[in-house]
Amino acid sequence: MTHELTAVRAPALEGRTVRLRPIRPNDLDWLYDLSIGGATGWRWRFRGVTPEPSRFSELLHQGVLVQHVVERPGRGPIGLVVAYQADLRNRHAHLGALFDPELHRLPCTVEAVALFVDHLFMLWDLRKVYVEAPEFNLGQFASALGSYLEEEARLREHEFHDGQWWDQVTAALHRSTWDAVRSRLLPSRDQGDAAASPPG
Amino acid sequence: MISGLDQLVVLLVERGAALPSEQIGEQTPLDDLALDSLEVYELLLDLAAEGVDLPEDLFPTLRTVGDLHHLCVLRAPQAAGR
Repeated sequence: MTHELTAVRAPALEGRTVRLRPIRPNDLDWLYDLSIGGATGWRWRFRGVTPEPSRFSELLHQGVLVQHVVERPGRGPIGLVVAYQADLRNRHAHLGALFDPELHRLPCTVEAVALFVDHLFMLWDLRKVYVEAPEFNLGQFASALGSYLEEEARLREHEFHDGQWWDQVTAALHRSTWDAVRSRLLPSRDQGDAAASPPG
Repeated sequence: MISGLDQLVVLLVERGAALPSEQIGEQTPLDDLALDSLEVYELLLDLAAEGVDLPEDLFPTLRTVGDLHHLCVLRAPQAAGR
């Protein structure tokens, strides 16, 4: 019995400006600082609560399907991308991203998230990926709302911050949307595919 | 190829600049365009497709639309061939 060489794409965790890699034990200190620190901690999952450092590693992985440190080659880690609350029966998961506040407006953060989304849709047969955020966080990806992300749920006055109640918004990136924009957002990925395909 | 300022302005507006094209000129601060990271990322992809490969680290160092245009002209393929 012969097997023809089939062209399959391998997961790509490296783009033009960033690469994604697993968390290493020596990442925990800076991840703790980033997750709890004043500039970002109030926005991230712990919302200002300070977990015991000794429990941080366990909490970091709680409810997580997959997560990667985002690194700029030659410059070290700049953030974390995470897929959590995965429901593989109903084929969806939540996406979160946390970046060094000095760099969070740089476009390399977009490439990191795009690589991670591509990774999720490639390895799991997800129908959609949710992004869940209180309204005060929406400005960080405002242009994606209504273009790539579709608002699917809104909990009114769900979260308290700075003297007022904010809506909690759940938006979805559908696989069909990703399929339509993937080659535009990750052109280097497509070049890699072409290079990886067997001849003929 | 981005040779004229007008072409760059069209791209900036397409990417979601907060100002209409008639209010964007060489002296317009890039901050006034209020592009978020996704919009800047897409702008850099647009420029790369036009042959202008702009390192993203340079972008935050630019102050005005004129600075961006100057860099685009400098880094255009025909400039590199000179």
